[in-house]
Amino acid sequence: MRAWFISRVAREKLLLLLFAGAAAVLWISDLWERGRLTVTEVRETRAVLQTQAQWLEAKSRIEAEAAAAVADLDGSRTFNSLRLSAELSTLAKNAGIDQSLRSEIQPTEQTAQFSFNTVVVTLNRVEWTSLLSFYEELSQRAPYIGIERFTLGSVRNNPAELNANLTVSSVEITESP
Amino acid sequence: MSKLPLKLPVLQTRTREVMILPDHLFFMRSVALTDEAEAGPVADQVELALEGMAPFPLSQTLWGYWTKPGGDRALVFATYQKRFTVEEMADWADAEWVTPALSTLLVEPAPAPATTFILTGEDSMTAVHFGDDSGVPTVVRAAAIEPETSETEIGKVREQLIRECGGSTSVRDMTAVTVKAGAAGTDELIISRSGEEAKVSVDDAQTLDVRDHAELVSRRRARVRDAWLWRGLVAAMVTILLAGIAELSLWGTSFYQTTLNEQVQVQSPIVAEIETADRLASRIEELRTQRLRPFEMISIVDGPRPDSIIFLRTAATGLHSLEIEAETDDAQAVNVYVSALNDMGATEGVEILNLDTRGSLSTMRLLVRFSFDAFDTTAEIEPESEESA
Repeated sequence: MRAWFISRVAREKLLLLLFAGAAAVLWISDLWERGRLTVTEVRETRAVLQTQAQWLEAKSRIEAEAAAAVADLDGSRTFNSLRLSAELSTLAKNAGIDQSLRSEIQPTEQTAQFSFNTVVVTLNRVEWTSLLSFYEELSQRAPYIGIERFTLGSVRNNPAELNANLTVSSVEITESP
Repeated sequence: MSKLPLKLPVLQTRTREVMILPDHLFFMRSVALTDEAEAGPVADQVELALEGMAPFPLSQTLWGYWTKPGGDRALVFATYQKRFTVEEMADWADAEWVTPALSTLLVEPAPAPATTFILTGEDSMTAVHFGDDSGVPTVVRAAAIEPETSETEIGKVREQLIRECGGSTSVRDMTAVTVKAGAAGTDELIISRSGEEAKVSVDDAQTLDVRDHAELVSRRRARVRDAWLWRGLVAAMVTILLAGIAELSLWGTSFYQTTLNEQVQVQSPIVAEIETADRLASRIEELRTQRLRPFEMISIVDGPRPDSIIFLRTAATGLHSLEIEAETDDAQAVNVYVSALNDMGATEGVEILNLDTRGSLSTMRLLVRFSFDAFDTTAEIEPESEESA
């Protein structure tokens, strides 16, 4: 190979060197970029796997905690999203503000053992006393029903009237823990 | 149907030639040398000596010389360029070495003093006499031999040459040698005599080359350049080889990454389920044990409220924090109200998030943080009996 290369004319030798050098540089450059990306991806994926492994290791503990969380709840008194919505309408009716009620069921989050239901309730132009009555009735449903968020505002042209916005949640036991 | 001959490219090297010239065409002299530090390089001293003794112009002379490092003499040989035809000289440009036949003796180890080598070629006979142990011949004589010359005549020529050298105590008849160039890039000359091979560097033998010395210098530079080009090519090839190995490693890593990704995909639904269970367990735990008490919070902050402050909006932002948006037409009342809130035992602090005053109307946004014992946030399960009652 060396003998063949040396016996070439200078121009051919130079061109061969340039081609080989350019090929080497281009390949190494491309390889470096792809290698860097691949190594980064591998690192990220291994980090994800490590996180997953931690979750999998904690699976028994989490399931035990989840079971414990609903252990002292009476499954027959829990609410699914429809029951929750109906219960809120009943409470509003008892407080005399059912005409002002608007409720919207949010997507249910669930596991094999229980579901977590959320309803966003809006009460428009209601009086303080009626709203307080509704709140007190709702509070008596704890811990099966709870308020997660609460916003209260007065109506601009009539401060005696209030607009309330509540995020109400309930838990539903789907199987015995 | 006739087959077309398939012509594939074949890596072939150029034939490398060595041109050995008859000794009798050269005149040969032993010239004295002086220290290089005083008289300059040996080549310059030889050139100067040749100008004095050559019977033809130096510009038309082919010459070379032989000496040993630190030696005080050099054997100089020269010939008139026009003794060779243009056809004969045509191949010289590509040859690796152009030199008289006696040069094949000079690269060998020096013999004992008073030894004469007789070198018989196809068309000449040369007597090389070493009068001392310097390794540089002191006298060289050569004679032409015609093809039809008889053995008797050749013997007479041999005796005549030995006599002309004088002082020979030992005469050695040397067999003819073949000289060929080594493989390209090795920069070697291979001298074969009686089946034994000796290798001589082209650089070492360059002073014996009779071609134009400037051209020889450029040839040496070309050899150095070629060596560096070759090293560069080798470096590039090694880099390409390493890149190939790295490419395989990368391929292996990509395969490994695919395997990891598949593992992630397989585990993702299970992990998502565990994450959901964990998150919901936490929320249920909060729902089960804690209650948000917005009306109790409002009741507390409403206590010290001056009449001029009107609540526009309140939002429970946590179990123990309430954000209030209010307005007043009495700017002094804001300070009074905030101080009153801070002084209450049920609050831990009040932060003014925003205060905007336009004319006599001030709008404020406050964040009130309550102490943990301000109101009961626990949510206990009612006994069945109470529920049923």
